[in-house]
Amino acid sequence: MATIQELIQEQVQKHPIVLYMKGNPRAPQCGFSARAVQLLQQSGVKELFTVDVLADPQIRDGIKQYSNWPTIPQLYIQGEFVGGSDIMSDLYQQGELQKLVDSAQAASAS
Amino acid sequence: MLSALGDMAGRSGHITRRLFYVTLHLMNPDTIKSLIQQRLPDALVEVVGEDGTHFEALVVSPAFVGLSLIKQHQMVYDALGDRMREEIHALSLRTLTPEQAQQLRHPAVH
Repeated sequence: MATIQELIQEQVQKHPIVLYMKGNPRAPQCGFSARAVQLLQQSGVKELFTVDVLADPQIRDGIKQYSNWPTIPQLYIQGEFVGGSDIMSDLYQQGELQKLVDSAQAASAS
Repeated sequence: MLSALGDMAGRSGHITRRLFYVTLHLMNPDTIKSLIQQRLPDALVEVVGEDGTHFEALVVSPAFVGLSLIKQHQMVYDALGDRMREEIHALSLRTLTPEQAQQLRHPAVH
């Protein structure tokens, strides 16, 4: 029986780009999650794996412990915690989010 | 918060007093500002937010120099402690080093 921390680790390592959010990309349940999805779409993400934390209280608590980060959404690229929506905004404006997305998609295609 | 509500439901005689207790603990921008400044005494901190649960903060501190954005935000979240989980629903956070703040005020001519 895998623990929640093991399950999260498996999710972020199996999928190149993972967003823990409230709701789903078509129906985000929070403005910050909506913003995160929008930034990823604008960064050229083709395949986004999302986890709706509202559907699972254990994941909702567990993901905050996993990253030592108290808020949702949380973005993981190639297994690494990137940040929440504020950091995603900063990175996007610097052109860095697009680079992270590009390299993750190139790595998973090869 | 949920457990506190469950507690109240179980002891309905105390509802009035408990609700008053919760109301007293609503956050305000000045409280958040002083909590951040206790942890980062050198920081310039601006916090806005009128509804008691949603806030925007700008923190400029020399302590951020050389740290990743994630580490910078974690320092601010640490300063807010459990309040970040329980009393603050949303905090839009921007962290800058003094040098970055200076550049924003007086952009270099390229």
